[in-house]
Amino acid sequence: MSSTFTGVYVARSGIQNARANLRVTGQNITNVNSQGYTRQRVQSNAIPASGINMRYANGVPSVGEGVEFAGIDQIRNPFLDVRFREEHAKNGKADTMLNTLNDISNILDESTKDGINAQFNDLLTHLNNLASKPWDYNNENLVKTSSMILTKALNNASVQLENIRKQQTDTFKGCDIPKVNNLLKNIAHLNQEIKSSDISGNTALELVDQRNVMIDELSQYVNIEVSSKNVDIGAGRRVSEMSINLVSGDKKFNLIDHNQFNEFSLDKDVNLELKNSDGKSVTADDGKSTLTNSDITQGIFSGHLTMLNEKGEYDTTKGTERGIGYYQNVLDKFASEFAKVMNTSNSTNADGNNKPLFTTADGETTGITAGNISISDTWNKSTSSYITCSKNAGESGVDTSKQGDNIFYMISQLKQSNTYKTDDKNETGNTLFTTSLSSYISDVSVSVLALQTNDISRQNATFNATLNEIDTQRNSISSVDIDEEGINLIMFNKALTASSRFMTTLDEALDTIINKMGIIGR
Amino acid sequence: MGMIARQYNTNLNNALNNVSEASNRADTLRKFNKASEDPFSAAKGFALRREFAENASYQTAVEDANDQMDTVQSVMMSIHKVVQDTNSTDGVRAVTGTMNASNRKTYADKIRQMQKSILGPANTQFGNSYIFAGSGAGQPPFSVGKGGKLLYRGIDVDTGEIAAGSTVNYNGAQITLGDKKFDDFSVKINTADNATPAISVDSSSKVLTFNLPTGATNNDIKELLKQNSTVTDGAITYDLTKADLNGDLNCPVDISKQTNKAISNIGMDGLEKLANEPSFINMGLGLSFKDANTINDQSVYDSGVPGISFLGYGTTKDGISNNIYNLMGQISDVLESDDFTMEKMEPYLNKLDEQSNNLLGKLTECGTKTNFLEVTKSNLIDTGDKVNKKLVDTEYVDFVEAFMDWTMQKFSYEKAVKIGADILQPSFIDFMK
Repeated sequence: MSSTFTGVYVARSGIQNARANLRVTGQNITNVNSQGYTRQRVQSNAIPASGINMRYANGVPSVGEGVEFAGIDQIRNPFLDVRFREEHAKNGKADTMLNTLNDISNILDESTKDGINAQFNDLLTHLNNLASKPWDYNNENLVKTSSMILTKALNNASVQLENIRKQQTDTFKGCDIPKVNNLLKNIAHLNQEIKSSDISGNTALELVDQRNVMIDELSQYVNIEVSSKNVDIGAGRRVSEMSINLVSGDKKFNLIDHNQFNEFSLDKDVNLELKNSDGKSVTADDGKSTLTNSDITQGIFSGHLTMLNEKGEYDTTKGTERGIGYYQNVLDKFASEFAKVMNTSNSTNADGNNKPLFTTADGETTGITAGNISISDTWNKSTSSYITCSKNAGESGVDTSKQGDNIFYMISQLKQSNTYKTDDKNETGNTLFTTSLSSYISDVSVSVLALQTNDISRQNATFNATLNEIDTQRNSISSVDIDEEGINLIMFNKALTASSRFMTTLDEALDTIINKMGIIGR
Repeated sequence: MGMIARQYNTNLNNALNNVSEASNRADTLRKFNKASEDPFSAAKGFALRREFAENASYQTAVEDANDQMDTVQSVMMSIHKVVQDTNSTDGVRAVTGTMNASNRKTYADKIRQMQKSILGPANTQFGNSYIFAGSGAGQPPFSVGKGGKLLYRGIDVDTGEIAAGSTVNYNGAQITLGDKKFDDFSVKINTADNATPAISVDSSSKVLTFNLPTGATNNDIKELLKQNSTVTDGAITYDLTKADLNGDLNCPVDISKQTNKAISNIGMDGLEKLANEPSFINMGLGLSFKDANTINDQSVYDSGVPGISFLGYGTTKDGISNNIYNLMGQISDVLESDDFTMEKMEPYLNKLDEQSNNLLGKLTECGTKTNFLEVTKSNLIDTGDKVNKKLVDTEYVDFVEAFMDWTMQKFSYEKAVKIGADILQPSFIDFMK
């Protein structure tokens, strides 16, 4: 036989449970717009009948003893979290790369404005003029001015590319790395608080939500993997500790281990380093490898590193992306090849360097780059014709030096198609492309840069769409649905009312037993 | 709830983006503002732009050549008229065997006047160039040398003798030495750091040596020649007062062994080369080179008309000049001579007929060239138009299309905004009691 007041306890548990449910529903409704909030549900268990007598048969049915408040749960699909973070990393990388490529496009793309390409065409027009009338010194002046503007345009482009590099390095070092380090620190901190909360029996769901938001943000920067393990805290209880690793192939670099965190830093050669709180480099789980740039495969960090360090065909490893370095090298190659053709055509000795038209700013004819190309000093200062108009030996007797065929030769050289390779002599090294000097810049800006940008921008759009998809799915599971919560309100309200009714029923029954039984004969 | 709001927001932003892009296209009428938006059209577009620019420069070249050819032809016609007048019954044909000396002298003077009237037109300028000077178009080509003989660029058109004296070709320039004793000499240049410029001569090995500081150019040789009026080798003194250097002044000196020898006379071969000297213009005929120094003449247009090609050069073996100017002079001389006979005149008159026809022949050639230029010009204009049309098709959108597109995008956006209010508002809470 159960005790007299068992029913009351049952009723009480019902009322308390209904009240807890109502509070949780209220919590959900008020947090409908909180970022990262996952809707909560009360876990209720039915309490089974207690005190099963093993010795004697009871003869009466055993009834359960009410409802037990087991805890509050979050409704969340962890698999979607993993997928979201992967996509977020890919998205971060594509986005960063696209930004840099757009900046480079602003320098090299001439769809809506005139740049190096247009200036080169101008030079060709003036050269054609000069070739028809080489005796007219005005024509040479026009060529000289046009060449000067071309060199300035090349200098400018080189400076702007270097600026892009500098800005990106600064953003990487000054904004993104400190942000990530901050996130690592805060997550580690939250880990500590969540564990303490767990130990004291309080699941701290709001803190877990906060941590999830931070991990989502972190996933945008590097390719991470979240894992947790259960630790024994004594008295047979276990709580979980979370750790985050940076995964690269089969190596794992630890970023956060419960409340310990490591920090990223960037050295002056744009190599990423991972150091622990003692300042020592962190090794992977194989015990010996330290973090290198190739270990960062996705995320904004990877985008930065790719653009800053990789040079496409100029790298010895295959399959690297064409970063800022590639475009700088390609532009330098243009300056150097252009100067070589012009200087060799103009010079009269076998080495092709005694009458240069273009030199570095110091007057050298070797080592010409887009940043230092300029008109040779002698040409700049000469007041009479400096461009060699003809190299045909000529007969003694009459001055036939102004025939103009050498200038035609220059023009035909500038329009001749060559295969350019990564080494200076265009012999060994990787093939870059086959084009003429007159279409070099537009080929680079369209066939290489525009295609690359188009490709990355399409990837970016795809990743974005997928990210949105996954996020929507996540939200459909975890975000608060006002309609559902409204229904829940009614439901739990009714449950509360029902339990209260039960309580009053018991109250009356007990009242009958206590106050109305055994009063006969008073 | 959050999910719906977020999705709606994203879609609305996309719609707004589309409106902005469509409006941009309608404004600028360009298909793409960055090559990455449409790389294939961009590649085509840039190639077409290059073609168009080249076509424009060729058209200018053809027009210039055409205008110059007009001038050439009109001058040649006026010179031809002078020759015809000389050859007519107003001129030499009026002379008979029975005329007396003073009558003959009148005609001789008349012919000399006509002779003078050729010189001016022969030195016509068009723009900044002397049209009959070949590659020496910066200087007037014709002048009168000693004995009243015509000089073309300083060369006697009858004999090929260089008026300025002994000349040697060196390093893209001509060094005029002047003194005939220099014939057959070659030059040698030595350079040394901080050397004082000096000239020396060795008459036995026939070498004229210049000592110059390192980094000297042809201009320094010119200066050196001007500073020294003589150079001696033992007993022999060479006169340098007329010495000069013309040509590529800024070319660094060549210290390698020179094989060219100084000459005072370029001979008939030299005159022939001068008469056929080309002046090339690039007109889009496919500029190409056989090797580094030989241009493929089929790939360029020769606009040159060197004066001596139609005025004539050289002499017959009897000494009768082929050159019209000199011939007229010779005829006047014969007319004024004491032992005048009509038989003596005959070969000269025949030659005058011959050269007059030759001039006419050259004039016709020029007419053919003009035809070629006209055809080329109309072809270029045609091609230019086609390229322009292709360029516009590749890079620009039709205005009507762009406007319609923008209107559609705007419409979609406005509708999306309206519907949003309906999606987001009602929820279950609104219906609870």
